[in-house]
Amino acid sequence: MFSNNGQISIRQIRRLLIFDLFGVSSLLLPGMLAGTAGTDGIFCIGAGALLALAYLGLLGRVLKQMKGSLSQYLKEVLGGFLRDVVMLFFLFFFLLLGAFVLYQLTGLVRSWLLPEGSYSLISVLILLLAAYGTIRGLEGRARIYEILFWFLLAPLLLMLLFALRGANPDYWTPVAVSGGSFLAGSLTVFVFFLPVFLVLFLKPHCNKPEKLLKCAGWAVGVAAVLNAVIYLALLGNFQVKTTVALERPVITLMSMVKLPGGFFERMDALMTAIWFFSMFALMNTGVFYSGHILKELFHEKKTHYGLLAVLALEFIGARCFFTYQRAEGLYRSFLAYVAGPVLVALPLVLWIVGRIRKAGSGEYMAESGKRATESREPMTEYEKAAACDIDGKGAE
Amino acid sequence: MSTIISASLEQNINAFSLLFNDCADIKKRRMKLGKELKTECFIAYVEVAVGNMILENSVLGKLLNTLWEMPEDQIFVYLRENAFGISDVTEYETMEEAAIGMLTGDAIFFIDGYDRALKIKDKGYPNMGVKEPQSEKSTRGSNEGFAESIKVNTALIRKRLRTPKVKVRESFAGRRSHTNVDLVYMEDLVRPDLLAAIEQRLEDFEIDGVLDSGIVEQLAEGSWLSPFPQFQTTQRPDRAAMAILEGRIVLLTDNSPVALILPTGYNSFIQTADDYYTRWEIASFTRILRYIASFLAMTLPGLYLAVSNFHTQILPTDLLLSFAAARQGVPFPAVVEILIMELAFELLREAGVRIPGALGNTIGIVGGLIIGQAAVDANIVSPIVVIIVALTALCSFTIPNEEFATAFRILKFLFILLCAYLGFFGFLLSLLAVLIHLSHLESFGIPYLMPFVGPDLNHYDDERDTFLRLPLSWMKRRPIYTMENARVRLRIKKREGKKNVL
Repeated sequence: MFSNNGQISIRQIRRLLIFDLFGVSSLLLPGMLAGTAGTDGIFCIGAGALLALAYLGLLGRVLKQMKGSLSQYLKEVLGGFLRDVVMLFFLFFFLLLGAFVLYQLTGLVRSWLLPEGSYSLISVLILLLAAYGTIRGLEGRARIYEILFWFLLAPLLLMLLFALRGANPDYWTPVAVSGGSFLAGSLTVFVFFLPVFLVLFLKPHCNKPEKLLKCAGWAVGVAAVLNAVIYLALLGNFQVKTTVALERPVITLMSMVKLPGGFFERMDALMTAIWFFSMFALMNTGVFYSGHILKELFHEKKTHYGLLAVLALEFIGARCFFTYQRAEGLYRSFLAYVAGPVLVALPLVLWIVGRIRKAGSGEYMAESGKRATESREPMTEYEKAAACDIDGKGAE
Repeated sequence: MSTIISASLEQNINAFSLLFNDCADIKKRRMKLGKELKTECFIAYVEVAVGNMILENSVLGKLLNTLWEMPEDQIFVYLRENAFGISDVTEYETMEEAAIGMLTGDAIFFIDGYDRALKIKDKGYPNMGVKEPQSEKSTRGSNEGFAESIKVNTALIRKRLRTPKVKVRESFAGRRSHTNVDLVYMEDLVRPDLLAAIEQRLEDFEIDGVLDSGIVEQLAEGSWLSPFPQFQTTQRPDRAAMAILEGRIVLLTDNSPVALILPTGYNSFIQTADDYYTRWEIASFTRILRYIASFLAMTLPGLYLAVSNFHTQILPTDLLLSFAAARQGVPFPAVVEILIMELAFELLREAGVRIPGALGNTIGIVGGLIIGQAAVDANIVSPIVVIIVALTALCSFTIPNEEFATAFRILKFLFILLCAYLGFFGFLLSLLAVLIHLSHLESFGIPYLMPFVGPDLNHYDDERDTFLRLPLSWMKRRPIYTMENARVRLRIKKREGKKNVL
């Protein structure tokens, strides 16, 4: 049938990426940024976003060379063995990402929704839901966040507007004198925006691959603007020290916002829903791609043993984060010193080696031309009306 | 193995009598035709289904009268050359076909020396006739509802869409019931892959009897585990005609006043026929109400439990105190209260449906008012729970389609249980589970949440008939169900340089 084609639209990818980038970053970044850069953090968000856009530029060069899936491209450029090594790295990255977000998500639920809830029960329920979402493929995931987009974003924007109204602009200054590390802050923001590399995985599923970069750029922009507004609202209401001290300052802020004429006394439980859904998106991304890579590595076709293994590993990983205090620090170090550099260096290496080996040169052009024809923009309403009579005769 | 009809009347009578041995309702008559009454013939029919044979006005009567007055040697020539000129005469070559033909409610006619059987149309089986649909009332528009005879139903659609492009593909379902199933569609609007898919699904099952469209619906559904229906049902010919104009297929089943429409989605279930007959403002307003109602019908009791048991900080203190005061003296936890009231309400609903006529309505009043009040007075439930359950019921009644509303009624219990145990987290879990399910669900390849999801994948960007029903003059394109090159449904003619007459 005509929609069930394994393809997702640019709008769906944009919305999915926005939630992937926004969820954890808005929850953790303000506290980290306030601690690192203080009032200069707002500039760090801008710089981090610019770095992410530059990174996207690099990814764009790789995307141009890619003619099939990432795995096929890696095999073409690096050979079978190195392809497996890189895919294993991605598997490890996604497993850790999923486990960390699951840990954060479970923590969020325990802090704001179910203080006495069992950690294991909560994380198992979330994982089961993620498995249910994963099992039917990418299209379903994309549709969820396409439909949820405005339902989540509209109340968030409204609440942020009211939070900003209560902010004291004096707390946003002074800038450039706080002594914080601008570079460290910017790199932290960049690390939170690293999931934009997902475009490499999304390309074969995108109905208009030529627009993928622009769409990812939009997602980075929206996530950066939202983070900047949240940061300003937090600094304006709490100042730097309290922002650093609070575990999830943005939710605390939301619980304090009073809607004029509003019926509800406190909005924290309701606003937690926004972060619940946003973080679930990123966690589901971790589960989905871990399962996907495992399937590819072990040539699994009809069974879901890979997914079961992923769920078990995610649970164990999240449990480790919960149990061992040092685990979170180790994960941050992994992101800063291993995953970050590898994720930046990998596209660079791929692009250079790809150029040397002329990966996808002729065939890519031919295929991209074919794709461009297939995904040609539909006629405008006027053009169609002019070409088609009311009985549907004539070319549309 | 089929029995070929022979030229010998005796053989045919024997074979036919063997088929209908011990069938007291099948009337068999031998007659002699021609001026000299030398040509023997045999008529069989289902009693009641076929009227008085000698009635001047019946097709059969006219044919027999003609044959009685005809010389014997001209009878066969007349039958060969003129029988089909008489309206609705069908010729059969095998005894089994003739038997099935007769069981559709018509008379079957054998004549000595003629190796064919003729099915002659008569009044058919008795049925309820056209009446007002009970479950899809509308404030404006036709009051006609589908009848139980498939022929009447196709005629009701044809009456509204008088174009030869409306096609009716006939098939039969049920090995023993031989129920007539018709696919009605607009030839130049329907997607060929959709037509092929439903035909394939109808061929994919073999069942002994199809007694209602509900059986076809359940057997032809893609995801039978889902509580959400993947066929839209309607009792209104105008709704069916509207669906055909959107490029959808209407599936009619004999003996069922309920037509199935495919494909469908969440948005289609929320729409009603009179949305398009009334002004766009009120249509949009009621449409939004129905969307909210569909959400609340599933979530309201669960939300109440989550807020009252886990997140009391959300509510203003006065309201919270009033909740607490209302619950004083009630011995059960809130979840038990809700379950008692919900189950009592479901019982009332079921009793109201089963009890005949006006008594059914009385049950609703007795149950709703007297039992509800008594339960509150006896401190079995608190008044706020009665309000919540009543509001939930109102919301579920607001959903225009009964099957669709049922899905929310079932899912409501999932929300109640998870919210009672996990509070707002349970609410979010259930909501996400339902959302994931809906986002995967498809009706004949169309995502259930279309056009809210993936419209641009199909070069379709018209969302003017969703939460809002925008003015008709803006809705120039048919919905996504239509074939891609036939989406324009309205063109406003501009008269340049001419002023309006009035």
